[in-house]
Amino acid sequence: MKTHRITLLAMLIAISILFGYLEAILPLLIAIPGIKLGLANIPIMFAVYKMRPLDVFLISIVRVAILSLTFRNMLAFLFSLSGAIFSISIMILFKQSKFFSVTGVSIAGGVAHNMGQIIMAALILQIPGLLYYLPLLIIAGVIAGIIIGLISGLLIERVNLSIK
Amino acid sequence: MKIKKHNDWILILVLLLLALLALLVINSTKATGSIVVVTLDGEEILRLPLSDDHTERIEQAGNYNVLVIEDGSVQIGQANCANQLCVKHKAISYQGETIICAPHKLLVQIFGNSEEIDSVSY
Repeated sequence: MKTHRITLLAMLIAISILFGYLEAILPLLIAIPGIKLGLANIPIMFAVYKMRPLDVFLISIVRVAILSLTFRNMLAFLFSLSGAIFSISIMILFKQSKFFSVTGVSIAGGVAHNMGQIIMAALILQIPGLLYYLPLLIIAGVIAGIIIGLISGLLIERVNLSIK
Repeated sequence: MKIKKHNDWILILVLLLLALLALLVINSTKATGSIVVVTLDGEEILRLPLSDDHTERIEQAGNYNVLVIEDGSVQIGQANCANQLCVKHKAISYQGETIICAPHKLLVQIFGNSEEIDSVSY
């Protein structure tokens, strides 16, 4: 069981990093820093439903660490990390409430991720003006959340793995 | 399953309303700015009034951004950064608004007057 879990964790982390990197090199659609589709969240959503909460945190933190520290800097790491931690905390909560479907959980996660990032950036950089981006970030989070949610939902239904 | 999907829509609605609320609050509290402050890598390098049309080319280590102040608003006309987000950003003119060129560590911010005079009596 332990080996199985480690292997699955490693695969999900690897896929998440790959998707994250892919998104980083593809051109961004909208003129606001931090707007992205969140493809890297597909394996994370998978983990939310198929693995333990601790595993989800592990995957997220390792992914953020490798991507931010390898390709950018400490500041980007902090912002990404806060967005990620806030995002998965919300997703795990929403999933356990059994109140929302996979898509709903993904939407909540997407919005939480964007909000977490921008609020942390505004706090650390001391630029309250960044909060002006909140309305757009919420909307972008909803749209991205729906898309990622639909894809993740399909995966979660059809892939018969589960390590809890 | 039907109930869950129903709740999803409620979530979307609540979030969109939240975004709308935030937008309304922002629009009602924003104040026209009067000065542009440009910061490069944390250090202030320019402080210009929004009232005077001005174009300034900011260069450092092979990177450049062209700051354009026109008609009371400021934007980045040109830059040689990879993502061009700063150039695509619409012109800003209200206090607190910002344009950022992350790869060039450039921050353009709008400030108002440092003191607000409520009333003057002689």
